Amino acid sequence: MGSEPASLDRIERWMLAAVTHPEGAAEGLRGPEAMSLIPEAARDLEDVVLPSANMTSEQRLQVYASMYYWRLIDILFEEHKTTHHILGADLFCDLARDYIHRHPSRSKNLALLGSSFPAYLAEEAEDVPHRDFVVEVARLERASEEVFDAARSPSIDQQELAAIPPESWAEAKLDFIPATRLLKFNYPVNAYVQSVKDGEEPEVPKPAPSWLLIYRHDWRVWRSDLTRAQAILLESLRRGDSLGEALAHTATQPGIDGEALAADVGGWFQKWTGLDLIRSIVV
Amino acid sequence: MTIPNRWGLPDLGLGMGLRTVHYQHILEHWPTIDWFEIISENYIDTEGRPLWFLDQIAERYPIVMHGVSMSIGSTDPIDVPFLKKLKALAERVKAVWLGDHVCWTGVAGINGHDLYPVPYNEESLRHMVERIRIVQDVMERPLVLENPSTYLTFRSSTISEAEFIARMAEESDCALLLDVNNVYVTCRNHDLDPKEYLKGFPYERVVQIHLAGHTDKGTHCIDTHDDHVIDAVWELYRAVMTEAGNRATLLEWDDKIPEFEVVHDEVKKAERFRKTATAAEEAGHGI
Repeated sequence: MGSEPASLDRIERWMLAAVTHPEGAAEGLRGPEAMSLIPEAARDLEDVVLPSANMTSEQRLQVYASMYYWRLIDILFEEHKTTHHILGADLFCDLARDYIHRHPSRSKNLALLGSSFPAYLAEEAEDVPHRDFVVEVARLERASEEVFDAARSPSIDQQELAAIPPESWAEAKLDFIPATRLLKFNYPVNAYVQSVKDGEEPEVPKPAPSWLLIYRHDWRVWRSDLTRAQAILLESLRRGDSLGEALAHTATQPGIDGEALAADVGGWFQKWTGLDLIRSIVV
Repeated sequence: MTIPNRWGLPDLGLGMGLRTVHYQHILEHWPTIDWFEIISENYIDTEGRPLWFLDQIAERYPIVMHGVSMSIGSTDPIDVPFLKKLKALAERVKAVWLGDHVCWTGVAGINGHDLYPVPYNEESLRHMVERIRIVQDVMERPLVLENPSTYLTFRSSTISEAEFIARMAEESDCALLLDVNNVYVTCRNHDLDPKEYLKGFPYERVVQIHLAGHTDKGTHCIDTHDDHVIDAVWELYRAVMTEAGNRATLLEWDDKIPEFEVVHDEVKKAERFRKTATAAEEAGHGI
């Protein structure tokens, strides 16, 4: 008591350090950051925060600390329900808390909170069971969020398509709308995610390569499994290769049937243009 | 009597917070409701489905923007790019007004995504007044700031929250959103009398009222927006309507959100208190 009141800036930095500590406000106000700002609070918190008739100063500070993790873990849960399903509530919450502590939000946009969660699960988190599979599920869920919020864009219409001379198609370069993501997995991730969404209790699958296109159509996010040939072709096109280059690249990959590719590719394009996935074609 | 607000902003009637679970119902039924309030940040940095719904709803209903991230009390620099996004959204939906809270939400570049209190003292007052003026210059309109629910008091506070808000509004010439549920919650948490809190509140600057439910934990209350409005808050609302006259009134329901009609019925309860205010006006006296 009796010391000079801290400045507004110091108070704010101190409070944020205290209420964002993963072990709660009591530990937070004794942590190095809070101690560097208002050390006297660790000795006598009432010097900074007054008690109320029913609550101590520490209990009052803890209200904010509890809400911080509760709110942000809930955001991650809403975005990663299948990851949560695999890990179970307790482990998911522990990992989410650790992630939030290591990667606090630096944006006003809460949709960005989980942007590094898959990488965290892959590289930083300790003791993640079925790590490789869990990371792939988290990547799918994160990509779905990104597609949900992605920028709007017009798509090419049938008239524009029809106006492209047949001889120009080989040189054509396709530009896809921003609301698309192409993902390659080492597990059948989409089948698992759908199974959980359907209320089933699937086993963690054995490794098997899979490819997935996530896209927005009619303002909803959709997931479409791809064949390997489709995925190689799309990846090549999205890299900026011309259609001719992409087809040639795809046809020469081991295990790809060039004749079947030539026969199928027209139908694929019909589907992708019908879903408004292509923004423009440059010839 | 009715105390007109200083800007002549309209009494929009009774509105609801626009929430995703109600989008489909609104587009299918176009319910009779006076206006909607949006959480501004839910429609910034996204061009997906929420904005598609909002565009349609904004064509038929007045929209008010209410934010949670302006962090007007923070000592971090003002986020001008964010303000420009807010301004663009306001123009897009023809927002009747826009606002945020008397609080800070982050510092040192980290966002806590909560409404944190400032110490109510001269330093905070000068800081916030200056920032409100800057924001109003950028936005080219008055900012409508809401009294927050708070859970702690800083020893370095030297004036009451109500006095702080009144002086802040006067010195910055901003408008106010009076959340009567927050008044109740804050007073419970700080051992104050809500009626005392409201004495002398600058109603000439109040353009909007918030109503909401909260969670009573016994030792304190949390502003959870997950239930019906309790009778004591309705009584405060009645007192404010009687004292200030009718104001645009909005019900917030953000967690465990029930069907549209349940929320709509809850806000319609406010009508009887607004009529009481009218009767008091006709009789030429307040309470």
